[in-house]
Amino acid sequence: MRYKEFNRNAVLEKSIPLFWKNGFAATPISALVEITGVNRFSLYSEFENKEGILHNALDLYFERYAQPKLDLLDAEVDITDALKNFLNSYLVNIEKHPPGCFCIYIGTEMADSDVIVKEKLDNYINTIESCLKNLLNRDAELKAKSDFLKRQLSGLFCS
Amino acid sequence: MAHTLNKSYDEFVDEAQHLFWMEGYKSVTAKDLAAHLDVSPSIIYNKYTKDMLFLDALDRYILNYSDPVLTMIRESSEGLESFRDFFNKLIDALLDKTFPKSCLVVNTVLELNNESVHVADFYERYFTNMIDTYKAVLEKAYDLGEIKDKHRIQEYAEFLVGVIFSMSIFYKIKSKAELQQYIDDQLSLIV
Repeated sequence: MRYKEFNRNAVLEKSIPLFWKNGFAATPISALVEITGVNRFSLYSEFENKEGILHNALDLYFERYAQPKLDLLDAEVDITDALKNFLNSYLVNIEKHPPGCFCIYIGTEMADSDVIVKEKLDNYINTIESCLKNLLNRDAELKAKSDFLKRQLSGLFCS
Repeated sequence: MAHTLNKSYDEFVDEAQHLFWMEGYKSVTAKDLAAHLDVSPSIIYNKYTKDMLFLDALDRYILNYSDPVLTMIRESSEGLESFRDFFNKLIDALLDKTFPKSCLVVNTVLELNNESVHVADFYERYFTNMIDTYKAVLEKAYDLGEIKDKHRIQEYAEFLVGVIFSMSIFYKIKSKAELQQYIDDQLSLIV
């Protein structure tokens, strides 16, 4: 029996900044091979194709990066603070990747043509909306509507 | 051998714009451009470069799409209602593919951020003009009594710029009715 010689999540983790910097179309498989240190054959056998790597990378992004941000909306703090913490969490400028949101970035490029990306984007936005709704429901007077995206995205070019 | 180009430069720019709009900037190669414009690659290397076509495509976006609607709302005698018209036109353009994929400027901001000085200059001009127009409309809304606090006009104008960003992602996953509801909700926040 053959063992996989690489860690699946480590590969995806390395592919995220690359997709995020160049977009999907402008990231050649050779660049993914180089940054992950895994050969093309093994990448394809694990993920089928470049799209497969992207789709799994989006899932990992959600699990590792977006979920902790969403947890901020669930924290036992003042509603305004929870919102601020949530929005600011997208704006931090870490060396590894640009500020903003990977799902939105990839969604902008791909959601019109790739149904799986579209589905993931849809789930992502719905999850955010329901978390915001839960938060706002704590205060009966607040209407559960979000203008979060605009701030989050305007942050991208403010940075 | 002399190359005779059978199209005007503006026509090339419009065709290149469509390619950039669909594919973004980074993934389009000189070869792709040449194929799309049906010219020899040497034209792209020596005469009309990718960067030149891209920047001019952005300028023509202003000329053909952005300026006409901004002028329209600037000249309208209505206040907040003219924003509703404006955003509903945007919804139509996104859904009927007059805008083949999101808003070209939003795509560019997301893809290139501040990587190019020339493109950053372009955003500066584009968003300054947009904010100035929004402010002119908001002043009218204030005169009409639709806004109470004059000091919030700047804030509202910046807020409305953000709406275009949200629309450019929401149209991909939401229905027309949801988008219109979203616009109504956003406008109801301006008081």
